[in-house]
Amino acid sequence: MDETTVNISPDFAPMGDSALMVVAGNNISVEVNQKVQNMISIIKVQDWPGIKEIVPTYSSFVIHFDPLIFSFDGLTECIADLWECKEVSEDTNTKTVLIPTLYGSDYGLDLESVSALTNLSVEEVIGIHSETEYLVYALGFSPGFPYLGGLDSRIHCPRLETPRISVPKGSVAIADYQTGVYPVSSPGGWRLIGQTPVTMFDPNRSHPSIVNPGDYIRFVPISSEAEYEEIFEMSSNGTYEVQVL
Amino acid sequence: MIEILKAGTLTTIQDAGRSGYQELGVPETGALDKFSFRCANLLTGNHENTPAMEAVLFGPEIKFSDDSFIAITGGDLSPTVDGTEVNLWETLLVSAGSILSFSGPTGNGIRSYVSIAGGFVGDKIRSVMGSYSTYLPGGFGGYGGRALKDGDFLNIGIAKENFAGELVLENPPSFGDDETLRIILGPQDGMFTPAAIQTLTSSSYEVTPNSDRMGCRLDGPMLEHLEGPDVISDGTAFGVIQVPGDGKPIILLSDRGTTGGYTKIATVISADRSKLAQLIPGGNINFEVVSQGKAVNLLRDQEELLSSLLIDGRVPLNIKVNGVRVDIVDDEDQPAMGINVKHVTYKTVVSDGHKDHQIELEIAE
Repeated sequence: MDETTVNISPDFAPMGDSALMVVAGNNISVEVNQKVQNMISIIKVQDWPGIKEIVPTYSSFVIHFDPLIFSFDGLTECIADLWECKEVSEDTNTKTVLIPTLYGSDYGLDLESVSALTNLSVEEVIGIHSETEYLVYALGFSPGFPYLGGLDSRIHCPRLETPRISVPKGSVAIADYQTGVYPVSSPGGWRLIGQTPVTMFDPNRSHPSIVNPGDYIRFVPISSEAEYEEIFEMSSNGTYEVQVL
Repeated sequence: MIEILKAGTLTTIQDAGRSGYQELGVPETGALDKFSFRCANLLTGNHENTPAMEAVLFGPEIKFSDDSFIAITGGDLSPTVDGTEVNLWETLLVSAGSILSFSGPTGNGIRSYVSIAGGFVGDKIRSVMGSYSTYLPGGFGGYGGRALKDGDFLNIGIAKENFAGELVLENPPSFGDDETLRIILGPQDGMFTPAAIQTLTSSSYEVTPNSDRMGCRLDGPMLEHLEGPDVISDGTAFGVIQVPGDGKPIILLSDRGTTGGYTKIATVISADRSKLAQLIPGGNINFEVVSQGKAVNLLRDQEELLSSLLIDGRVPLNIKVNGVRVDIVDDEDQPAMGINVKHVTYKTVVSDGHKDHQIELEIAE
């Protein structure tokens, strides 16, 4: 594995005439992703004309721009000039969001298999999964799906051999080195270990997603079905507020 | 109000797309053929980003309950009003009780845009995350998050005051079953063999029927990767050509995922977006590499085509000389977009068949 992480200078890759991919590094690491997030914050405050939207992923970001307003060459020059800028933008406002999660039984159909695969007790798996703060590297796959890194290697498990046709909304799942939450019901091949009653993504809310790229998530075990139902009820009618650290 | 008598193959409400939410994994969505969509609105005096209908292959049957200005642009799906063929790319006036229907594609594109003066509004047509575009997989945007159905009713917004219609887009685009799409290499052309780049630009690819609003899937010679098809999941753009392990290119469109883990060999230029959106399943395409500079110039030319309709939604002033429209320019030789009696003298050029004559125009209030 390549030990070098953040690129000394940005790597520019054109994506047509109206989008530019800026590569900050060539691996999945907190350091590279934070460079991505920080550069985006710095670029946003420049208020350059013609910038339509900036989309972060693990180790790069894509700037969508209007080439009739801002030229491709002008844009790459301006970004290169800012690359050395070390100061963390004031716009960076990351938070840790606590996601209540009911682990196991009908809520996490694969928890037993994870326990068997890892030679850990169910309680140990829950303990390990819920003690880490996971960085939201990016959201993608489906609206509001967070790609979380930092899963403890003791609970790494391969994907299911046969993906499920439908994974319930709110399912908390793991696959290889990743963990995530299915914000809407969708097909999926990750192993389900729990479920959150919180509506992670609602297109009609003013802030549709509970988490943004660069935030952290920590899963907090729920003790009973009654508590799950109570939070579910409140989240569904918009009266539940997630705890934020 | 209008009534959808028959919904057609897939008729959705779209606008120019959802901007600013891709970082949350929300696709851009919106009209695939943005040029035709914008044009339809300008032809009915609307702001260019007013929600309009996108109809695919077999268009809807629509009954109007009021006299209305409408416009149909994009692919030619054989529109008729009360059984009489009507033109695309111009303002049409339909009467209360009239029925617009489509008898099917003609080989000139597959997506039509239907706009109405005032736009489509109503309780069920809501802006979600800043856009009226329908995102079918997510079930939000447009008309209740779904495609239009038989028996739906849509309300009409307030049309522009004093809109007189009679607009025509000169030199509209046309579409065929053998198109050349111009591309810019990248972002990951370096992850393919040199032979793959050669293959892409010298071969003909067929548009397969399992293409949809997410992507246009192609069949043709395999494109070979240097070290496998996967990259760390990264961002996407309209028109980017991704190549999965089977080596068959997929051109990503409006409803594409915001992130993807396959290598992307090249990107179709913005000026060819309409051509891309109008590709006919079974048709053939070739790719031609162009420079950034050329792509931007082509886009500028295309914008100029629309700009005749852009300012105040009016075409440049023109006069008819023996039935032929002649443009009028102002004292700076710019197309006159409106009459300003105080400050400008107007002029135009007419020909007697042998020689041009510049004439000055005096405009009376």
